[in-house]
Amino acid sequence: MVFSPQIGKFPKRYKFIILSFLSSLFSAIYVTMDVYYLNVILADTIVYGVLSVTIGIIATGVIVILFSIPIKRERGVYVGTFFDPHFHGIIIPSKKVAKYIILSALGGAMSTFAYFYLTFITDPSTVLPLTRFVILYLLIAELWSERDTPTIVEIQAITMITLGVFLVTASDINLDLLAVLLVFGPMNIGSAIFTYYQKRAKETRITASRKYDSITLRLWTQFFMMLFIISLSLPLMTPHQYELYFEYFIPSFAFVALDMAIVFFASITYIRALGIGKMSMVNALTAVSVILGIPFTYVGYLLAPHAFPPPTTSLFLWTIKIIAIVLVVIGIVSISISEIKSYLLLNVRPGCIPHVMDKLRHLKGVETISAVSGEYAIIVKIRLRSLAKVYNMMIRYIENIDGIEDVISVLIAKEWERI
Amino acid sequence: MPVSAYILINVQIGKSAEVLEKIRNVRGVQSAAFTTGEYDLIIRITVDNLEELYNVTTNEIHKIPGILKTTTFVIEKEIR
Repeated sequence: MVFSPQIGKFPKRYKFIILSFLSSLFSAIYVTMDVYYLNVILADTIVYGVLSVTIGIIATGVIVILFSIPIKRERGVYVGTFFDPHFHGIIIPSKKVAKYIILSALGGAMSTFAYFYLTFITDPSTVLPLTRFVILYLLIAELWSERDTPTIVEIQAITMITLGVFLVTASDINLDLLAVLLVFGPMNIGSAIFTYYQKRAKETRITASRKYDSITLRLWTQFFMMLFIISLSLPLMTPHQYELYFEYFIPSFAFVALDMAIVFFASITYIRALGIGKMSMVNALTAVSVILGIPFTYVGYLLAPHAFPPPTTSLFLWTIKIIAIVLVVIGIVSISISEIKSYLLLNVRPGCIPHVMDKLRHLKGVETISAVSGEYAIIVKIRLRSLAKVYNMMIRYIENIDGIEDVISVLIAKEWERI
Repeated sequence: MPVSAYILINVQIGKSAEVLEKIRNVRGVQSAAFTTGEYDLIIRITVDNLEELYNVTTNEIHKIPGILKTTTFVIEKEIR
């Protein structure tokens, strides 16, 4: 029996936005918890980093075991299936996916290391925007690979969101040179590497109908990240820090486990979103966490005034923050409403199918190319930002491919998909 | 060996929403898209084998009220 739950009730793009938003909500919570821990419980980033990854792997392991409880085993439905429809019990990744996971974990470890240092020297509403510089790196990476070139609408939206994110930090830029270098260097380059390989792994198929699930990917990624972070930290730790680690392990267990459980949910929603959309878009959407960071910092200030900075009282700064929020929201809305998807049904001259498929795979916006049996020879699914682009693609490229006799375009008015 | 196929469907006017609701519950359906042009609904399905595809199309999809015509295209090769 092929594992195949029903397709969801929500159209794909809503799922994309909901998943990204959930991920940013979880991120805002765990960042606030991290800041609290480092400012109130133990002001040692290395020890906290090692505590996080070791307790984190236990927390993740427990969640994954709970997720693996079967509900309808014969139909492949587990508790985790409700969190990711592709989840079908924990699996050992293939060689190729293991390589993606290890590379991604290496990027993740680099970025986490820098992140802990920055959390120590500043507060969440400053740290969160800094993690978003990665959007620029991802945008450049996507521009580089021609197949995924961002359109003008995407660039506009991403510019608005990134600008908004920068403006939110307007009040609290007091970083030293080392912090700036960490942001532009290991933190965001690591994060870009992490995102790129997570996406590659998520898009890899196990069978024709099943892709890797976010739960399996997170478990293995976290395992390797733990190895990398421990091997980076151990040589740097002093004997006193070893003592601190063992002293704080038990008392901090519940807090850190909860924190890492939230990180787990932030990650699986992020990985699922990556399976749907472009890397830069997912990161632009999860930039909402910047806005969410503001109320969380405020709540943190009310609960533990010594750990969080007081909210600013300057009308000017609040105006800037509100403008920033409006920019982020408009950016997100504009990107989510502009998308045209279409099926192209092609008649191809006998003998030309391999050549035509090869030509089609290099076109922008092509999602899948299927050689089929029946009235048409090839069905192509395309996703573009405007009707003008669809027209352009048909006239300029597809109709000029040698071997294509006829093209019928069927525009998608609305689509539901199992993600 | 799993088999994937596109099924292009013509739907009776006024029945689109009902057909979609039924189609969503058919096993193996991965996506369903309302389209403009020659066809009304394009679905993508993945099942265990050709026999299963035959069973799903004849016993499940063809029995949905409101479906006028279906054309099935079995995917032989796919590039993503």
